[in-house]
Amino acid sequence: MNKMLFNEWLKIKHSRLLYFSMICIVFSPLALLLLMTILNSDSKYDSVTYLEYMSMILKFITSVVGLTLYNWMAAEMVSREFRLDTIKSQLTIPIARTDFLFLKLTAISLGMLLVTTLSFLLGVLISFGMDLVGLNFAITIKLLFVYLKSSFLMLPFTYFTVLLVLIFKQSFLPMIVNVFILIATFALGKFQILDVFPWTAPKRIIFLASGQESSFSIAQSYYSIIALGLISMFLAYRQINRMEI
Amino acid sequence: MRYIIETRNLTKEYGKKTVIKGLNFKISSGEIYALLGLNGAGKTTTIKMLLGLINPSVGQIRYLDKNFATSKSTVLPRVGSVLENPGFYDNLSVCQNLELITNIVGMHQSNNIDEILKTVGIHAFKYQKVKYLNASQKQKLALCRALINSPDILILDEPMNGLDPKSINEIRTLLIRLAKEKGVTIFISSHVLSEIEKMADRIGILHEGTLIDVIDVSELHQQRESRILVTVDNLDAAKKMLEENGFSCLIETNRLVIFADEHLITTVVEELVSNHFEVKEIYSKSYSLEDYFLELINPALEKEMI
Repeated sequence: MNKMLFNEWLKIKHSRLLYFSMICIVFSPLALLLLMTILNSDSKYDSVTYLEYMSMILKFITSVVGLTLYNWMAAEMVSREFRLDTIKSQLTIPIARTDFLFLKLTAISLGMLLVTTLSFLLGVLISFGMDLVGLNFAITIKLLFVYLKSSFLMLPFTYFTVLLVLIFKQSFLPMIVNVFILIATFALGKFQILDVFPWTAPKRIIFLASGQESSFSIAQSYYSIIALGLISMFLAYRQINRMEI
Repeated sequence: MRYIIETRNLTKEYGKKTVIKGLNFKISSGEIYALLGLNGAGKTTTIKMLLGLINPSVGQIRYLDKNFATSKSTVLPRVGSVLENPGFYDNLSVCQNLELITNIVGMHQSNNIDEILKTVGIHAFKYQKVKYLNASQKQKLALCRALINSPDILILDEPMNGLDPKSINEIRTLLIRLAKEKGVTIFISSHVLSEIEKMADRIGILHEGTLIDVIDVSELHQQRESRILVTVDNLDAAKKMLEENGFSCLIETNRLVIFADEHLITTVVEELVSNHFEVKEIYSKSYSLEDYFLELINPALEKEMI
């Protein structure tokens, strides 16, 4: 299993998309610090708390990187096997078709987890250096769990993207579909149903869990994301098992 | 007898079109079995079914007397394969592309990789990225990938594609050695008929998804006579005269084809000259696999056109 995961990392070792995603995530605390410094006046800048700063980083990671670059990376990892025609040699080694998908998504999820943690650590270090208000150990531990949970919440979306990749056998159209869904959710405004719509539910779970009134519970938001992941996973496995390669 | 590979009524349908029609063949240990056919005959589809990349619509594949459909995970590690236009991770080196396999099959990779690269003749490119290799080197790398886990069975789809004559000779020698010395069973499809003739023990001829003939290469050479080809001034009269003298012949475009061995060439010349025919050209030609293949395929094609 370890060697198989290592293989997946070896395959994307020189991927520019991978490095771009990693740099985006890891250096997002620095970029946001710079943005705060440029955009805010001195008085406002002083008023940014530790919690607000870390929340900005997390928003950036989940919305910009998590739902776009992370998905794109997953799509690319699967579609390039078709593009390079390496899938045939992989399946005749043999790697079981379900493992073929599972390994890729596990490898990329572990990667996402690692860079999110790095980003978190950099955020904490910057907060410490800047002596931001509200920085303490208890909140830091709580935030770490929120970061890790956010990273895991991205996984179901990759199964959905991979399902589209298996249908279209390319990565471009699935990404268009993903971006379209995201834009559509913004266009829908503030309908309550968005609290349990899989693409907007993570935002509610991570950032608005407390203090927001809704006819839907937080648990229902979780269920919608998990349901999307499970249904996509089932359909993706079924699709790859039925595929004539 | 226990066969290494056996197919029973192997059939593949795409919608209403049947691309493989009830294929039956049996391959013994250490045998080199070649599948010949025109483009679209169904060779690659057959190979893909043998490797589990596509499933048969009807019929069964058996490896070592086991049903392949239910034992893929135990059978495939014993099979090495080269597919037509093999794909590689271009951003990785030759060595890394092979490591992807050894990491999974759990071999002592460094020794094995070096040994295979030396055997196939691309050791000098071990650390070179695949994107910088030429077609011949890539084809050799595909063969390395097939051999890396010391397979008992090799399934090769057009393995000579893109190879230069020297490499073809090397690969042919290697495959024959593997079959005869190590008992590796080889199933090969190729367009290079002359190469197939030199290495295969048996040849199956596939036409439009049907196995129309299976020939033993050694028998092919023994049973079939060579031909003498003559260009003379009066073809019909010459044919009649030679037939009266016990030769079997036919007219092919502007020449006479006499089914006789090379050593009878002087006799043929003497007969023609003594009967006042003007011999413009005469030469002998041994009967090749290509002749046999075309003789078999052409009537089938003509029949379809009618």
